[in-house]
Amino acid sequence: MSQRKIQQTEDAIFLYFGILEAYKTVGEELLGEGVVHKQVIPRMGYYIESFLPELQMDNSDLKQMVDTLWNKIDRAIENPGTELQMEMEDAWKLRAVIFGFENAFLEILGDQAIKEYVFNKITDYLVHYLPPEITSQNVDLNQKLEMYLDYLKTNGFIKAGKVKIKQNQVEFSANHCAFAKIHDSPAYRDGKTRYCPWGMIANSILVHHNKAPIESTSTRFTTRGSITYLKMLED
Amino acid sequence: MGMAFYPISTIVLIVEIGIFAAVLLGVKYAKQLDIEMHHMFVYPAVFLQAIITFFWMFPNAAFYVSDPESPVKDIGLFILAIHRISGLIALLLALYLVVFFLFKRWENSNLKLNRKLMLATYYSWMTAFISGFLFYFSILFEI
Repeated sequence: MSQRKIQQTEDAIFLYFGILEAYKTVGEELLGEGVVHKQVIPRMGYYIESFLPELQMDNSDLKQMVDTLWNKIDRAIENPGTELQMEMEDAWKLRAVIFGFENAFLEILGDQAIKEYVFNKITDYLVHYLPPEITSQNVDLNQKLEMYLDYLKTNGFIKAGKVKIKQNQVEFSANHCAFAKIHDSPAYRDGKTRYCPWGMIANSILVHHNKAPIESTSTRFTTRGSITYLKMLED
Repeated sequence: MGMAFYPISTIVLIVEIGIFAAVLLGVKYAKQLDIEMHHMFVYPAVFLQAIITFFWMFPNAAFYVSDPESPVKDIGLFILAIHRISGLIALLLALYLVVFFLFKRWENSNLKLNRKLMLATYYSWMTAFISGFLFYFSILFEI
């Protein structure tokens, strides 16, 4: 793998990990310790089967895989400069974990739990992984989201995208995503994926900027990307 | 046909340049997933192109192909053939897509095939545009 690809993979993994840490923290508060093993892993099997059908993993394999990935990333965070030694397939596995969490939350707690707790929590973690200009209070919202879009493009996660702010709604589009290959999987076709991770991060940038939750979030997936609609609370 | 042709066909050519520019902008906004702007450019482009095709191009095509007074020779007729085929494909596909998305909300499930049709429409439209441009000059220079 080229150095650029390695860096791209590591950046994606850290961003996804920010989302996962948020889900895990909120999950443990609301659903109890062991939420990953009890609620997420049984559900993420569906996504692994959908995204990486060649893997053929049962629940104990999934448990081991998640623990290994988590420990690896934790060690890399505690010891900056440590090589992650992960590949794109690991990024897809993390995506499957994210959707496992999403599914657990939706089935047990409902959509509102994700909006009210998880999105806010993602902000707390992502401030450590995103460039500082994106979380600075001296930059206006449109600029921040444009910088985030440029960050995604520069790092090769997407090839095109747009930020549109109309009245109290933000439309965040990300197209030709490096992970869009799995948009053709049954999980996406069956509508079992709710939020694009890039859109979730845009959501948290918005929450962090406004210092207030937003009214609603939704994602529409396309064959190569997604459009996330973020509706802010009216003043 | 005679003297009236050149001013009218020149106006049509200019309008076609404008229409193709709208199509290119539509493609640009599609790439950014700005669907609202994409529709704002492609719907009028398709509508206008349909009018020009059915009320100007179709009636005049027969003249160029079969009338003894047609200024167009072999090369021009070959270019016209490419233009007609690619143009018809582009227009029919475009009309299908416009009608489809006017009545059906786009979803990931219906995009896979329709995205391929959009690409086919774009490339055939480009072929029709370039060949139309060349055909205009083949009339002018009687080639």
